Amino acid sequence: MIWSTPVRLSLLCLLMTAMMTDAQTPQKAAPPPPAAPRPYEFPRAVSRTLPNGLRVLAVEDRRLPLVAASLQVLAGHAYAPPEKAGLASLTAALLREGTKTRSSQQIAQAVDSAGGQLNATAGTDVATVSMAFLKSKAALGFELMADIVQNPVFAEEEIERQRQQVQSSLAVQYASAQYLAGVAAARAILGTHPYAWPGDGTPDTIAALKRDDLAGFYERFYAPNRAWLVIAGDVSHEEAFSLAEKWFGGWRKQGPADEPLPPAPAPAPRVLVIDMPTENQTQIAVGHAGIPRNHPDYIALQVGNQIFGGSFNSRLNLKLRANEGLTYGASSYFEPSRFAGIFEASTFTRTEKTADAIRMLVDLMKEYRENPATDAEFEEARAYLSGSFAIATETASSVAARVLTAEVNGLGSDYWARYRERLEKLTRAEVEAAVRRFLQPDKLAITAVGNAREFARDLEAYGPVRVIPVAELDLASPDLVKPKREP
Amino acid sequence: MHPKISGRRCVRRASTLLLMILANAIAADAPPALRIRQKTLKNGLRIVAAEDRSRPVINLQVWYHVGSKDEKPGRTGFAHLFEHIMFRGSKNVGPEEHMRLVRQAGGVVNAYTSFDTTVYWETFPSNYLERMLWLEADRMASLDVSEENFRKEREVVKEERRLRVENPPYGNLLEEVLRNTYVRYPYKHSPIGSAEDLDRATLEDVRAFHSTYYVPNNATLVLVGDFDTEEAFRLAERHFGPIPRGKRVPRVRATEPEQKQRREASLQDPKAPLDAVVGAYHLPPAGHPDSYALEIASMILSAGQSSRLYRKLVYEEQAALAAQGEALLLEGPSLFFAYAIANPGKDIREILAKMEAIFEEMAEKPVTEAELEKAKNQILASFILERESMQAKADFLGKCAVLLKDPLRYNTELERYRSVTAADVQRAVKKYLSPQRQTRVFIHPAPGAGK
Repeated sequence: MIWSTPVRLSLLCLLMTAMMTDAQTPQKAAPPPPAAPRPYEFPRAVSRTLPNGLRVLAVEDRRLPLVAASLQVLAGHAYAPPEKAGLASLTAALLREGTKTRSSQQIAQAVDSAGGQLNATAGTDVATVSMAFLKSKAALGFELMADIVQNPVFAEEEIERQRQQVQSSLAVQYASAQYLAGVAAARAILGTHPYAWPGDGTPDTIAALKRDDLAGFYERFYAPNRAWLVIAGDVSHEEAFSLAEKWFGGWRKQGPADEPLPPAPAPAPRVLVIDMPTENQTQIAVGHAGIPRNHPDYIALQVGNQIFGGSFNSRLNLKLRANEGLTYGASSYFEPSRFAGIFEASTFTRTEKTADAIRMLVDLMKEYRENPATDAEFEEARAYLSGSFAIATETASSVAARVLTAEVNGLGSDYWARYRERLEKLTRAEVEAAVRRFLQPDKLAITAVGNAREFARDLEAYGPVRVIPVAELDLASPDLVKPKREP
Repeated sequence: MHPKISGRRCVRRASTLLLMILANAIAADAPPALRIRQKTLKNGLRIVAAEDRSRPVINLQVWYHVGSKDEKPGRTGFAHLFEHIMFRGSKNVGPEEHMRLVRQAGGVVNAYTSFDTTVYWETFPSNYLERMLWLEADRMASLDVSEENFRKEREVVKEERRLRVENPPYGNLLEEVLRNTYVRYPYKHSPIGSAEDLDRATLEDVRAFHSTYYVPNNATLVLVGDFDTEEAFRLAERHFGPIPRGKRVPRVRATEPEQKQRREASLQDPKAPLDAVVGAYHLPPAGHPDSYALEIASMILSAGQSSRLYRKLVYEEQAALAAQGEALLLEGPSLFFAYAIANPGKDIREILAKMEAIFEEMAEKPVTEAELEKAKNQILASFILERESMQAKADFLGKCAVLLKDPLRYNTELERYRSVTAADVQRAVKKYLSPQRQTRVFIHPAPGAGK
């Protein structure tokens, strides 16, 4: 229709002819060759354990007048029971909201006045308290960080404030199909495993949390023998260790030993549809249980994932986005935690294309299991992961984060120093074997959030379909729905 | 040509050194100065380079001085659609091959479109500099996109629009605010544009846009990282030098009339669970002397939990989930956004009235010295913390070169913030955040929504 005016049509024809001429004479120039690579070594981290059991890591980086520190403690969502989902996050959030000697506003004033950053959040396994201050103000940063880690008071008034904030943001999140797809997929894939529950909590679990819950969670799990501290930036290793000793050496507490969590449930086919009739686009997540971060196949599967859905040029994105124009993005990823994980491929498309997109995604996954990698794909994925390592570890904070990942997951202290060497040694056959051991495309949990009426029935081929209206969704309930109220 | 360049370099080196000494005299914590060098090719391409050999990494950016404000009527969203098309093939690079060639080098790549500019970037191991220059030069020199790929890419962009605008709660708020705030200036629409206009776009538009705006005399090449500058200039000249200069690039002529009366609009959003408001005020462009005082004001209002808006509306009164005041500084007539989301049961009009009262107080009474120092410390910290990577440095260097018209401002901008006084803040707030310059847009949950 757009092309109906003769003038435009003829111009278009000219343009098309020009292109076809190009296509018929494929004398394309090749890109210039690379120069010799410059060496790069992952910055050295030195570790020491304090008498109270706190494991300290120091990374020296003198490029900027900056000191950053990050403390991770085994007090993440996995340690809160489902009926108290959100407890780990709320406990972490309250650390900043008042200590034995400082009020919430005094802490905020001190941090802001120095132009510093001080945050506390919870993830799946660990809660993280982090700070970044200019070198001249670093002593203040450590003092505040140590105070909120060791002396929080969990005042009722502050709990109510945070509860209100969380409830309001949950109200906004529950209007977002993108948010709901992420949290619902974790339930569809992991069922009732400790990693399955929403870390933000739900409106009902947040409403029910008491001060005793928060204080009790803190008392039980925040302890130096369950924690790691990394200090990175414009400090020597020795300075870093003496800062750690000064501010955290007096943290006297003993938490429970680090017990393993159960393995993830075996994959089984199922379809979970959250009905949001207002949407004109469906959010889709397809997957099954993944692997823990310390799994021996991790690197092989990471390479494999690059090929399937881990990059713009992956099979998944090329098919759904570039070739079909169905989506703005399609990707797959591993979310590995300490004892289990999730493998997930996700995308989104206009409502009427929902079933098409899911069919293509599942078919690609099946085809991928049969043919996991061509030589060219394997080489490209490996070259990318190896070459981009210096970029991914360019900043002091990204180095510190990796050092912590290796420690918390028990990967060994030379893990990052030897990372590229291990990539080099990896073979295509190892990747193929790992993919075939791992991937189970006939046992997928499929989650779709959107206008269910338009597509739910088309998904029955993939397993039993469950449609839950968004108003009835209860992510903290074992069967995902709110209990029916008596009339 | 060469002697001239090295002559210039000497002058710059000396001034950079002086600046470093000055900065060190002022405070121990100072962002390290960048060693910035410039060169303009005969075809008009401007090159701005800063060597930093601390990591074997380079970030390269090509800034085209064209954004959504340059779109012709009936083609909103086109500059952004065009950005996507730039990955669909050029003379020597097939569709999607650009991404592949960057990836094989261990690099990462993306692009973005804003109101004023379209920026393409790669971050990569430094031994691949020439490949990246070649890739960018190839698509500046030529595009080779099929009708079929053009149509598919348009669908991709429409999915992006559904993702960012049509489906999330409050997703259409920015569009509403812009439409109500600007009368004439083409910031009236957001870079994502309308779905109808995207459908009207043609391959012919693509060709015309490329030959009008994607010319060396409308582009700035920014390089930060591990290279020898002379070598980088030589390689850039080799690949970009042969591209012919384009015609004189058309510029937006529209002006925005001064707003003399408050305007108000409200809309119902079936996806919004809580009442929200944006109060937008017209501001001068980025780099205007008053813009620094306005950014300091915005820090005092919004940066951190001790800021005035957070403390009063979020912390003390628990009226709002969020309450912020922020300057969006652009090349043309800019905006200050005051926005808030109400907690359940709280009156959004009352919240806005309280925000206005806080602005009024700042217009009547100078901010305290402690607040001023806090804001300056926060800005100093952000200059250091937020310019850590090669890419972050190049982002700001490009902004200085293209929007502030002088890349050397990279090393001097901090001084402009540091010299702001309490009286400057008071004057700027009084002048710009006055009630008659405000356009307010309320957003309310549609009846029956949410629950």
